[in-house]
Amino acid sequence: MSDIYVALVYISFMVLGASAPFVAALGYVWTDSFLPQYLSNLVALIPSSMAMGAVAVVLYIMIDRRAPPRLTAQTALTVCFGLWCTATLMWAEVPDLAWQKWDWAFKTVMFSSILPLVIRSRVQIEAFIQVYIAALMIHIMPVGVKTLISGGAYGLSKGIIRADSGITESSTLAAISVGIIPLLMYVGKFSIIIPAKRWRYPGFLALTGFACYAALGTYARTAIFGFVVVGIHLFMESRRKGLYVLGAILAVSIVVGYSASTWTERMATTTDYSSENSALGRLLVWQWTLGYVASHPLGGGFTNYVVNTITFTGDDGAATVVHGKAYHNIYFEVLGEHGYPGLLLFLSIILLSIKSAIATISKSRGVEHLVWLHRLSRASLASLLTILVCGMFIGVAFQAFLWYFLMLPVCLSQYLARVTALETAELNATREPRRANRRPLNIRDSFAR
Amino acid sequence: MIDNLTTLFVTLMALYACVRAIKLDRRLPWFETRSMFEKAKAEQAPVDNRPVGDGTQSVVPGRAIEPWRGTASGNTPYGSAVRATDPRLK
Repeated sequence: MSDIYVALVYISFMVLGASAPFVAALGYVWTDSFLPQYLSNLVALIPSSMAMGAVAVVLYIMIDRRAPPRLTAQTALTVCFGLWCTATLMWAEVPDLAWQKWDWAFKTVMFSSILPLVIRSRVQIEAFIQVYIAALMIHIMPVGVKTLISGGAYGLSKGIIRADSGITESSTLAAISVGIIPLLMYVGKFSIIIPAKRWRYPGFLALTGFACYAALGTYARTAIFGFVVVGIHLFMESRRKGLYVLGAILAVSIVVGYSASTWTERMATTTDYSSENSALGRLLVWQWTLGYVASHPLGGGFTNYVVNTITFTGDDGAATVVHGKAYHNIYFEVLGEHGYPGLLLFLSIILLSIKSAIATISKSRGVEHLVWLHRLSRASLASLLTILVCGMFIGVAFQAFLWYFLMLPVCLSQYLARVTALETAELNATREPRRANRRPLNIRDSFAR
Repeated sequence: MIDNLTTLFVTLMALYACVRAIKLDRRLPWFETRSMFEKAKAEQAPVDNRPVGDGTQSVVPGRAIEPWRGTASGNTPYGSAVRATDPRLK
């Protein structure tokens, strides 16, 4: 039954996309994050993401090229990055695995580059956020609810998709759960799509609660860093800062006091990087990456980490040998796989995203009709920074959520650019009639003479 | 049970957002400028002060916004007025 239901929802995006092409693009975002192919055998029969992506692009080209934005440096760099990642396939250490990762990573990067073309108006931007939140909630909510009922555990998969890879991997899920909190808070307060009924804000607050529980229930230490960034953001957003600090202290006390001892013990190992196997292994693989790119400055292609061999002394004092230790860091992942040019492009995209978010925040500050843009830019920057900080401990450089968070500030800055252009045009139009009124008068005068 | 309810909830949430977005995207301005905002604000004030049923204001919610629906350019004027007068957007 759920097979057919999920397949119908998948088809609904295509049907709705025919009347409003941006919905087909949202359908791709939903498919990429919801992963309906794992929940419905019917959807799994076709390459679901590719089919939806193709529909979105074709519909955009055919019927939705209204008000196209100008080409930004961000979009150009993203396309260059996608092409460079493809080029590294030529000298990939492990070609078979490299092609496998390229298959989804290339799609993610390239689709994110066309997002600012499709997502233009305020309603479209908010619809993108809402659909994205809904798609992510399929992974977050079950974990949050089950943690609330029965507690969490490390390495125990409580999600709807029982896998330990991609978005369902515990650390990745923890990072994304914390990362969407600023957006959940924004939608709860400023949504125009969901009417401001009594339940809207409490409803989104409840989703925020589930996201927090999910992050804590995974026992991932990455979440702690994410919570710090989101905590700073919420502190800056709050009007009563003293009350916020008291509330935060109370919340932390409750979490530490009432959580299981296994959770606090695991969190206590966060800074114990010299003896804890997982943390020590990460440091050693980063060290290996630096040595690798010294001899391979152009990188080793996707999934090249499988060639590494890490040796270290474990908790029990015995020498431990690990083959194919993953990067567990987005920056080292890009550096190892795509070398210095790849890292340069990747960092440029990140810095431009942050820059455009900051510029939008400063330009829309105090502007009455752009209050929503100001608040959304702040929320999107907080979400992006959360993922970038969490990304220092997880290898999610090509996961869709990172690229969507990188592109959201671009959509917002493009919105601001168009509003500014329209306002300038209006200003010029009000000046023009005055000149136009003057001219005929002069002509009449000259005829009279 | 939890998984099935979550699937139902999040899929309905996504579809609801899409359907509402399609409706609103056709009706609200794509890019709201200061003049649109201020014009709407100025027009909104006297409209709201009039008592309903005195013959000057429509008793049917949303009727006042009918003339501006479906503007081809998408940059519907009085976007904020639409938002302010349409009870479904409040």
